Amino acid sequence: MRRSLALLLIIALVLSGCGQTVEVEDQAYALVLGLDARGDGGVELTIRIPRIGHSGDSDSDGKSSGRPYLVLAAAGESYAQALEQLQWSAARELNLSHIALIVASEALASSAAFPRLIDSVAETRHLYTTAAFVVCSGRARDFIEGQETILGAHLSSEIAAMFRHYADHGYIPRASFAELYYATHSCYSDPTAIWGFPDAGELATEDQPAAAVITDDDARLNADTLTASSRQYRGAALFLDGRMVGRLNGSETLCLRLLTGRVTGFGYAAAGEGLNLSTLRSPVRRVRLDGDRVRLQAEIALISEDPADPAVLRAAEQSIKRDAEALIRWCQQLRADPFAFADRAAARFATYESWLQWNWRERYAQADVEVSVSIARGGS
Amino acid sequence: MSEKTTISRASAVSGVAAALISRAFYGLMVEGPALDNGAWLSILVGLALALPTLWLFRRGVGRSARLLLAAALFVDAMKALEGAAFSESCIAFNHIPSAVLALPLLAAAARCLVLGGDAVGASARIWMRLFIPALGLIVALQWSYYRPLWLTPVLGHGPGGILRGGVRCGLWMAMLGGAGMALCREQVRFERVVRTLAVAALVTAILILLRLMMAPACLSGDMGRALRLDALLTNGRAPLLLQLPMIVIWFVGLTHLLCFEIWCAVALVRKRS
Repeated sequence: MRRSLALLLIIALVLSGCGQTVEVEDQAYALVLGLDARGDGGVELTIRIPRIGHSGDSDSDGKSSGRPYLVLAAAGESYAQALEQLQWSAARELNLSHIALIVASEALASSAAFPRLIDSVAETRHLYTTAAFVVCSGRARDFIEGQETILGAHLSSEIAAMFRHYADHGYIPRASFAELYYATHSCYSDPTAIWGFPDAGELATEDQPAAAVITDDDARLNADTLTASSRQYRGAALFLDGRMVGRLNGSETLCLRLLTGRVTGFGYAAAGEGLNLSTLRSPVRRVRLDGDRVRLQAEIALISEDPADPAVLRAAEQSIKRDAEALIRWCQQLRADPFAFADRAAARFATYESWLQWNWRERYAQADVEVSVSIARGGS
Repeated sequence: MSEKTTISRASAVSGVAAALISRAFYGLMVEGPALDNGAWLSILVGLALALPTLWLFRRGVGRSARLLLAAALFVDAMKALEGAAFSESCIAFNHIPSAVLALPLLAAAARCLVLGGDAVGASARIWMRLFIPALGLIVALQWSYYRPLWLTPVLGHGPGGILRGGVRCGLWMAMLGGAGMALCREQVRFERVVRTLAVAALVTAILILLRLMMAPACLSGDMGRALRLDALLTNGRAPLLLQLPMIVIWFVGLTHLLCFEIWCAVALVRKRS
């Protein structure tokens, strides 16, 4: 009798979760979340959700049986209100736990309302902040509507693979929403986001050429390449205190990656020749204090994957050094430190109070910059 | 009957150590106001503050002191229960009342009252053996995400914050260590008590350091308990596949803390001498 009761109790405990089951088709799994500013100060949210059970295959006549993803949007005076509207718009239980990408429009990311919005998104229940974070030109809703899968059938895995590839080669920074949130509230360095822009052909109209809408760098990239996707990702958005304050183009982003991480295989032109370079070891960054004067030092160690002329390698070293120092000086003007120099400077202080009182931002802005680059000759 | 109100030395050591690790980590990193970088120093300060009280306990605990200790343990057990229910709500069951979420935990604690202190201690020994490889797996997969520079400034909010955290840690150590000493069946040497608490404090300090290297101190505004729990379990930097072992460690730790404190509180009340 006691054994039967014990068995019954165990079964009841194990199966107790079944009372709360929700079928997969009864939920709306958001894979992409878009954030836009409304003209009246409100917020518009856009999500992209997969159609469960839709294979995207053609029907018997060879025609497409419909898009595999839906785009839904809702607006409100606040983020909470917009999210509530989105719950209604989705007509299903909205599941935010699988978001792979968060896209914010440039206008919203640059506004005074964005820092508070970062907190609201981070505080959303079951919204895991590992999602990649992109700032796009134009509206986030338009950007999301134009997304499509290229090589695979699943948007979430496509996004992950694409960003991993781009970050490894220095085209974009490694940027997640969690990093944005933590860096915004911490006392260390400033975060970056991935820069996204649509294909130039989509933006150009009879009255307005694409160059008037997107920057020269983005337009040049569009002109020089042929891609299957109408959504491009290259470059970085710089943030300071939760607001976007500047943008880095492709080559500047590569410099940023060389200064902060490892880059696997990138092409670099110097002295009329092309080189294939890789990071040899992680970059070394130091903050030296000479009295009141601060010196920022960085050492970049690279290796040439092919046996190149030493004169070409020396020219490349000088060129990368100039680019890196110019990038740091430009960021100094913006008071933004995406290079993690602040993390190193903070180590010299015993308490948060003493560190904050030292006024790192002003000292960073006035600091001297020294970058050294060495390229080892490989491929022999 | 005396078997139900006493505990063997081995079970006391493992039970107190496991309970202290869970209590101190939960209290310093999730429950209370953020101490951030100074938290790992608070646990060490707490050990120093608890030693005089434990020195007084070594010759035995009178009835009044036992009742006071029992009351403190019971109140703390309720905090552990609330913390575990809150964690469940945050992670998955936000649509279920906390009182309902607490029922299975209370059932486990009630079962421990029937099984006795040796069973609770034995389960702690088993848990410690599982905890170490689980933690090893987590550390190995998070290794590339750790940022040692986020441990600086080393003193965090300064000596005042460290001392405030140290006082709380000292109270927990005195409470759990005193309960172990009062309920132990065999004579416990004071050096053994200190060594047990020191090892538990060291393990807690290491766990705190690992947590601090995963997410930096957020100084502009208080994160709130939910976000502090989120920064621990799903922080957005660690691989998502680590959520399961981290959640298992979290809940097993809090459940053991609850069961151990409830058992100690009841045993202290029932103990006749």
